[in-house]
Amino acid sequence: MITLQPLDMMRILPEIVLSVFAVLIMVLEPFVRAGHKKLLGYLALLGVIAAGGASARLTSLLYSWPGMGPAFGGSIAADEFSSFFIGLFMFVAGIVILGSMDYLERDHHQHGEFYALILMGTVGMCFMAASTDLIMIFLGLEISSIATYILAGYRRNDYLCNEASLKYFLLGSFATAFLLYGIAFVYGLTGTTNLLGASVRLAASPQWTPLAHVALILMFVGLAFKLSAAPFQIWAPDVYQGAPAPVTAFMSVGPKAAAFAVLLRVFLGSFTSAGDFSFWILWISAALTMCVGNLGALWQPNIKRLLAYSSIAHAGYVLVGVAAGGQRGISGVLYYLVAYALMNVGAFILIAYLAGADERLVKIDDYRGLASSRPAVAACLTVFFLSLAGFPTTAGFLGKFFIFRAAIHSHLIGLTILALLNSVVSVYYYFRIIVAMYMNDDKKETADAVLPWSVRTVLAICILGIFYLGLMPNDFMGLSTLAAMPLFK
Amino acid sequence: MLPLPLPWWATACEKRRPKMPLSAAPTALAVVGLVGCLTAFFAATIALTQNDLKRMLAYSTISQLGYMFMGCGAGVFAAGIFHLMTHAFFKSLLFLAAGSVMHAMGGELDMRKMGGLRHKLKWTHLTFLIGTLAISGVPMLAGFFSKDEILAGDYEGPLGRPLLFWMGTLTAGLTAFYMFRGLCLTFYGKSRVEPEAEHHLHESSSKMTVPLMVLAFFSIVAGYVSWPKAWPFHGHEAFDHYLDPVFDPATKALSYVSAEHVGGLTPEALMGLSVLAGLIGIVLALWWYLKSTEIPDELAERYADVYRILTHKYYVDEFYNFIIVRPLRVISEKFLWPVVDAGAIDNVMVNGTGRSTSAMGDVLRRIQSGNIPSYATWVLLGAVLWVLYIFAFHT
Amino acid sequence: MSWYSTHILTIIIFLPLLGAVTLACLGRERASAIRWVALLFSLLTFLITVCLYSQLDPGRAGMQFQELRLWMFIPPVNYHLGVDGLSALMILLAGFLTPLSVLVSWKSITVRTKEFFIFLLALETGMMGVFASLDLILFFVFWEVMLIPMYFLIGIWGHERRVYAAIKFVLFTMAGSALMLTGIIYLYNITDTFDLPRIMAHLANFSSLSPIAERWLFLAFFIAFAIKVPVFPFHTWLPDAHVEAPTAGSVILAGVLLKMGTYGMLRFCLPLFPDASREFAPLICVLAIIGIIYGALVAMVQPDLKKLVAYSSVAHLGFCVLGIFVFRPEAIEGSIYQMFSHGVSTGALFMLVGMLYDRRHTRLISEFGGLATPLPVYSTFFLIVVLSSLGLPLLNGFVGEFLIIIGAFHSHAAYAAFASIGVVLAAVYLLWMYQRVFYGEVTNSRNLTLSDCDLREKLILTVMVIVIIAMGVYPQPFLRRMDQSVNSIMLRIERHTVILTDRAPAGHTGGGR
Repeated sequence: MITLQPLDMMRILPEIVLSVFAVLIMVLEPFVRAGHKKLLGYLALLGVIAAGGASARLTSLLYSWPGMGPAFGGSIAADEFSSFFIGLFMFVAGIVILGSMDYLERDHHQHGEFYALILMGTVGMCFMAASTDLIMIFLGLEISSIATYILAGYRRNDYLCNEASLKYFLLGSFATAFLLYGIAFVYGLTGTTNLLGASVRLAASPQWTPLAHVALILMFVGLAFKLSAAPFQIWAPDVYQGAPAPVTAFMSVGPKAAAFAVLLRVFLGSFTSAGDFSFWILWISAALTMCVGNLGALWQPNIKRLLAYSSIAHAGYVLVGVAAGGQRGISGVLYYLVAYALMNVGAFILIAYLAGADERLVKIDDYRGLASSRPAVAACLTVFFLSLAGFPTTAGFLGKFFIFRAAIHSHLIGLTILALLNSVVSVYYYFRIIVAMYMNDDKKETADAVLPWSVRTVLAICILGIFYLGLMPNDFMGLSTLAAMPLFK
Repeated sequence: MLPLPLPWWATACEKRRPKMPLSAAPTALAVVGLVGCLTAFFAATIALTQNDLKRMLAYSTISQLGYMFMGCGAGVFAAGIFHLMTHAFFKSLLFLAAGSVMHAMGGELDMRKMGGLRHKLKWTHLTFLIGTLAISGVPMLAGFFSKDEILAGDYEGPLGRPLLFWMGTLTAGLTAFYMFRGLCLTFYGKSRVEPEAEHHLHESSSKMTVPLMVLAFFSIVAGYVSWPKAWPFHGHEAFDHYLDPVFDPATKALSYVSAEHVGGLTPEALMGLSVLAGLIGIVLALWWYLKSTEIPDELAERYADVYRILTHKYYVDEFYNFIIVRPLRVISEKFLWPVVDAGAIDNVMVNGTGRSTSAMGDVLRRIQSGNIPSYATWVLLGAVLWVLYIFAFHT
Repeated sequence: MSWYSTHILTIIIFLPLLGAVTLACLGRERASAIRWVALLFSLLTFLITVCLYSQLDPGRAGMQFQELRLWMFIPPVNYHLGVDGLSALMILLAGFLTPLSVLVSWKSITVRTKEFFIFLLALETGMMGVFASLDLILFFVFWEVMLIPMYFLIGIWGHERRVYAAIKFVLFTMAGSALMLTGIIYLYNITDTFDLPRIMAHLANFSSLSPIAERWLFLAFFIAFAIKVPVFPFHTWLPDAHVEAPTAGSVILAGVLLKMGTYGMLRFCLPLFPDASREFAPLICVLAIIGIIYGALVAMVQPDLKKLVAYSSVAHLGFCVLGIFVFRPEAIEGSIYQMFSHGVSTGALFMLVGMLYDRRHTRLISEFGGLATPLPVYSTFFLIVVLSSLGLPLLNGFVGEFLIIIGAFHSHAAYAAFASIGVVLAAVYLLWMYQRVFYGEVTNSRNLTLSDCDLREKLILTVMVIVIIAMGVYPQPFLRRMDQSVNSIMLRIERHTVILTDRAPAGHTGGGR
C-alpha cells in the first residue's frame, strides 16, 4: 500500500506546475482572440519558468529541508540527477516555445495545442528522468512520445509531415513494445519493477541468467529507438525531415536526453551487476551509431535530413561517454547533452525561419550566397556548425573533450580514435553548408523577412551559451559532476 | 672541371679547423694533385680549338685552376694561393678586355670574324697583350713567378712528382700557344671583320680602358711580392711567409713525408725548362697564326676527328646531359609527378579515402527506403541480432 | 613589473583578435580604413614581438615571460603561456610576416575586404597562441582554431579549385590532430596534468612510460606534425593549398603554418619521447631525405610557378626535419634557423609570384619569358630571393642548410651526402625556372607592357631582402638566443647516452662564426 504524502507532491512539483499550465493553455485557447495567440506562448513560457523555479527551489532546499529524496514509495527520485535533467528540459522547452511563436504565426498553425503539447511532452520527459521504477519510466516515455507524435504531424496540410508523424507513431509504438516486454521479463525474474529492488535481486545470483540478459537487451532496444542508436536509428531521418523544424528542434534534444537519462539510471546506476555485458552493448552501439550517422550525412542535400543524421552521430558520441562510465563518463555525458541542446535547438530554430513559409527552402543549395546577403545570419549558422563539428572554443569541443577524457581513462582508446576520426568526417558535411553560404556568389532567394525578436533572443542565448560552455566550463562541469553523484550511491 | 667530384671542401674544412690539417693526408693530396694536373691539361687542349673568345678564356681559367690544385697537391699550398692571386689579376684583365672587344664588335665574339683590331683598339690591344704575356709565363711578369713556383714545387716539393712537373710544363706550353693564337686571331693579321661591324669599331671609353690599365699594371708587378729566395737580391718570399700561419701545421706534418725526388734537375734548370716551353708555344702560335695561316686549317682537316673532339670539349656537356640531366627530367616529369605524386599518393590514398568514405555514405543513404514495414523489420532485425549476440558471447 | 611586461604574451596573442573585432565594427564600404586598421594592428603586434625577442634572456634556460591562470578545474587545464628561444623566434616570424601579408593584399583583395582582414588577424591570434602555449590542451585549442580562418581565406578568396584545396587542407590537418588529441589525453592519464613543464618533469623519471606506450604516443604526436610540415608522403595537401590560396594565405601558410609542424617536433616529440624518437629517427631521416630529393625533382618539372614553390617548401622542410632527427646540437640549431629563413625566403617568393599574378592573372611559366626587360627591379628582387632559397652563402638560406648538413654528417655521412644532392637540385629547379621566366627574349607580347614594382611592392620586397641579407651575413643574434632551447632539447635526448660534463653552449662549437 502506498500512501500519498505531501512530500511526494512536493517532489514532483515541477511536473505538476507544467501540467497545470498545459491544461490552462488548452482551456484558455478558445478565449484568446485570433492574432493574439502569442499570449498563450507567453503563458507557456511563464509555466516553464515557474516549473524551473520549482525545480531550483527543490534543489536549493537540499540541506535545510528534505527537498530531495524518493517519492511515491520509491518510484520517483528527486535527486541532483533528475534536477539537472529537469533544468535541461525546462530550458529546451523554453527556447523552443520562444522560437516557435512567430513560426506558428507565419504558417498559420494552431497555437494553443502546440504549447500545451510541448509542455506535456516535457512533463513526460521529466518523469523519465526522475523515475526509479520501470513502469514509471514507461509512463513517462509514453507521455512524452505521444505528445511528440502529435507535434511531429503538426503541419496538417503537408503530406510529408503527416507521413513523418505516422511513421514515428507506428515505429515508436513498436519499439516501446520491446521496452515493455523487457520490463515484463524483469518483473518475472525479480518480482518487482522498482529499479533498486530489481537490481539487488538480480545481483544476488552469482551470474546472470540468459533470460536476464534478454530482458536487458529488450529494454535497450526500446531505449535505443528513442536515442536513435544504430541499428534503430532508421526512423530518425524521415521523421526529422518531415516534422516542422521547431518540433524537430524539440525532438532531437528533449526525448533523446530523457532516454539517455533513463539509460544512465538503468544501465549504469542500477543493473551494474551485468558488468561486461552492458559495456559491450554500449561499445558496439556507440561505434555503429557514430559511423552510421556521419557516413549517412555526407551526401544529404536536404539540410534537415543532414542534421538528422548529425543528431544520430552525436548520439553516438554520447554513447561513447556512457560506455566509458564512471564519474567522469557520466559528467561528460551530462555536459555534452547541455552543449548539444544549445547547438541543435539553435540550428533548427534558425533553419525554421530561413526556410520561409511552408518550409520551402530546406535544401543546402538554398543557402548559397547567404553570407553576402545576410552575413549575421550566416555567421550564426557557422557558429552552430563549428560547434557541432567540435572546433575548440565552442561547447561542442569541450563536450567531446570531456567524453574522450573519460573514455581514455576507461581505456577505450580504439573507440576514442574512431570517434575522433568520425569527427573529422563530420567536418566535411558541416563545411559543405559553410561552403554554400560563403564560397558561392549566387544570390538565392531566401526568406527575406527580418528575424523576429523572439528568434533573435533564442539565437543570442544559444550562441552565448555555446561560447560560455566552450570557454568557461567550470560552473557547468561542477554541476554535471554533482548531478552524476546520485548514480553511485 | 673534370667530371670528378673534387674534394674541395676538404680544403674548406681544413680552414675551419686549423687544429687538424686534414689535407696533410698524402693520399688525399695525391688525388688532388692528379686531378689538378689532368684538369689543367685537358682544359688547355680544349682551349686550343675554341673560336669564341670568351669560351677560350673560360677554359683557360679552368686550366689555371688546375694549376692551383697541382700546387696544393704537391704540398706547396702557398704557391697555389699565390697563383690564385696573380691569376685573378691577369684573367680579369683578359675578360674585361674581351668585353671591350665585344662591345666594339657590337656583340660579336667569334674570333674568325675578327682580326687586325689592334689598329682601332689600341689600349685594349696593349693591355690584352700584357695579360697574354703574363699568363704565358714570360719572365718578369706576374704569371711567371707564380707558375714557376708551382712547377718547382711539383718537382721538388714535399709531395712532388716528376709526372706533375712534366705535365705542368707541357701545359704551360699549350697555354702560351692558345693565348697567343687568341691574340693573333683577334688583333693581328688581316681584318676579317664584316662590313657592318666595321663602322662600329672604336676604342672603348675611358670607363672601360682605365680599369684595363690598372689591371695590366698589377699583372706586371704582382709577382714581385714573392721574389724567390734563390735569385739575386735575395728574395724575401714575402707572400709565402704571409701565409705561413695558415699552412704551418700542414707543412710541418708534411715534413715527415719523404718525397720521391728524382733529384736531377736544379731549380735554374726547372725555371729554364718552363720558360722554354712557353717560348716554344709563343713561337709556334706566331708562326701558325701570323705567318703561315693555312697550316691550322690543314692540320684540322688532316686530324679531323681529333679536331672535332677538341672543339666539342670532349663531349663532356653532352655526356652530362645524357647521363644526368635528361634522365632526371624524364623521371620527374613522366613518373615522379604524375604516377607517384598525383597518382599513387594523391589519387589512390588521399582521394581514395575520400571516395570510399563517401561510397559508404551512399550505401547507407539507400537503406532509407521510406517504407514503414522495412523500417520495422530493421528494428526487429536489430533486436534479434542483439539477442543472438547474447547467446553467442555471454552464455 | 608593469602589467604590460608581465602579460606581454597575452597581448601578443590577443591584440590581433582585438584588431579583428575592431574591423568587425567598421562598415564594409570603408575599404581603405579597413586596410589601414588591419595594418596598424599587425604592425603593432610585430613591434611587440620584436620587443619580446630582444628582451629574451639568452643565457637563461627554461621558459620566460610565463603566465599562468587556472582555466578548467576538472580536468585541470591551465592558461599557461611561456616562451624560450625557439618559440620566441617563431612568434617573431609570425609577427613579421603578417603586416607584410596585409600589405601584399592591399590592392588584390577587392571583394569582401573586411572579412578577409578579420580572418587574417584572427589567424595571427591562432598562430601566436600555438607558439606560446605551455599547456597541451591550450596548444590544441589554438592549433585547431587556426584552421578556421585559414579555411575561409583559401575557400573564399582563392583561385579556381579553392574549395577542394581548402577542405583537403582542413581534413588532412584535422585527421592528424585527432590522433594528437588522443595522445594528449592518454598522456594526461599517465601524468595527471596537461602542463608541459610538469609533464616533462614527470617523464624525467624513467619508469613513467613503457616503451610501447612511448612509441604510440610519439607516433600520435609525430603524425599530426608530419602532416603539417609536411613530411613525405603526407604532403599532397600542400601543393593544392598553396596554389589555390590567395597570396597572403600562401605566405602565411608557407611562412608560419608549416613551421608549426617542426616546432611541435622540437617542443613535444623530442623532449617528451626521446627513446621513441631515437627508435624512429632512421625512418624519419630517410623520409626527410626522400622529401628533399623528391620535392626538388617534382618541383623541377612543374609548369605552374606557384606549385613549383610549393614543392620547394617540401624540399626545404625536409632539411629541417632531417636536422631535427639527427640529434646534434648544430643540426638542430640549423633546423631552427632554417625554419625562420625559409619563412622569409619562401614568403618572399610567394609574394613575388603574387605580384606577377596580379598583373597577368596566370602562373604558368610558359606564359612568361624575358621578363627582365620590362621588369628590371622586380627581376632583381626575384633573383636575390631565389639565391636565398637555394642556399647561397651570405644569404640566409645558407646558414641553416650548412649547419644541418654538418650535423647530419656527424650522425651518418650518407644523410649529408644525400642532403647535399638536394642542395644541388634546389639550384637546378630554381635557376632553371629563373632562366625560363626572366632571361632571354620576351616571348609573349603581353609581357612587354607590364609595369614594374610600385612603391608598396618595393617597400615589401626591400624589407624582405634586407632581412635575407642581414640574416645571411650576421646570424649571431638569432643563433645566440637559440642556444638554451637547443641545450635543453639535447639534454633530454641524451639523458641515456652521455655523462654530461661542462658543455659549452652549442653556439660556440661551430668554429668562428
